[in-house]
Amino acid sequence: MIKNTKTVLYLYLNKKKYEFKQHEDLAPYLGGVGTSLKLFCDLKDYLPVVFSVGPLTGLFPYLSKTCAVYGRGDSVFENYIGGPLAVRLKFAGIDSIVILGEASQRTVISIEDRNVKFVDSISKAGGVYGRRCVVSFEKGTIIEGYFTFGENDPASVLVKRGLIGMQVTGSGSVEPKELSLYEKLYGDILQRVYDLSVPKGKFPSCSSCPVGCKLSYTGEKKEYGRDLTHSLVGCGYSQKIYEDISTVFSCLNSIGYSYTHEELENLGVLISNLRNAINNS
Amino acid sequence: MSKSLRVSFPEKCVGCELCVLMAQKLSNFSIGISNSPIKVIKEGERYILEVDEGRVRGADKIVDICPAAVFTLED
Repeated sequence: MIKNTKTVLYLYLNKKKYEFKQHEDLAPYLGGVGTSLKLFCDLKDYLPVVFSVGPLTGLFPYLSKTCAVYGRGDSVFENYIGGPLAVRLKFAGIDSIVILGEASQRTVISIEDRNVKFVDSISKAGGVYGRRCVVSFEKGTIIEGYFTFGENDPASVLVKRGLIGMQVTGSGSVEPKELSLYEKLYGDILQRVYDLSVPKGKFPSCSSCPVGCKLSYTGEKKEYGRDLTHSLVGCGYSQKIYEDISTVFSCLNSIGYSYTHEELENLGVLISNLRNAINNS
Repeated sequence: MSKSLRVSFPEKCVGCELCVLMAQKLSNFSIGISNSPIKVIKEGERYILEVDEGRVRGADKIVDICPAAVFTLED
């Protein structure tokens, strides 16, 4: 059985230090928007920028986005970006990244599994050729030269703090607990490409999504009512598939997570409470 | 005699990496990307595919999973 605890990478830009922490308290929030909001809520006095993926990222089709939660002025933003970043974070064994502090000089973060370096340019960020994902923040967030957040981009906040880019390589892997069930679910969900609320295209596609839609370029903003999908982190266009608790329960179980139906049903309330706490603070 | 995987239409690739994931699952029995015999690399506006043909298993399944018909099988 895989533990539901979340692995969070804390980056302290001012100290050029990092640490990995295991968070049992994040387990009820599943991932994505749930864990991002919880981390933001707990650390809001420190103005964190939080990126999160979900427990099934890269393991099932259409679960291809990374959730970002951050503050700017008096507002808190939730936003989603596509491309290959989410899959790299997943296989680096990272559920969330929390960025804190302000660097004294231009900084690029290089992440290879549990090895993290602070360098001063993307050309020095390393990573494994053909397996890495490069993110630039200087002209807005751009992943692999294409994928962006569209509106409400956290890049301006990050660049102001000295962070101009990031590289992620993930060499880990997952062995599903119930392989036969996993393969059946995977195949069934892949066949449901026509349940997505976005047409198929020939544009660059997010990793683990076959659709190649035009909208992968600009990510998506938050929209209430998709909290389960956004915790996994699927794009909103896959909500017909991933807002179904039975489907999600089966997917999680096939991998080896021990979430119950009740915990999944309760997720929306937990997330709503977090939003209220943030808005009232 | 099993057929081998050929990258016939790389210009059609959308970079979804379903082939990368499937190829690793078939060759290593695990879900990931770093041990996959296939790499998909974005260079400018196109994708380049590198295939370690000696390590590919289940080439027909990789052909099937590609949404853009990039691959074919050849003797």
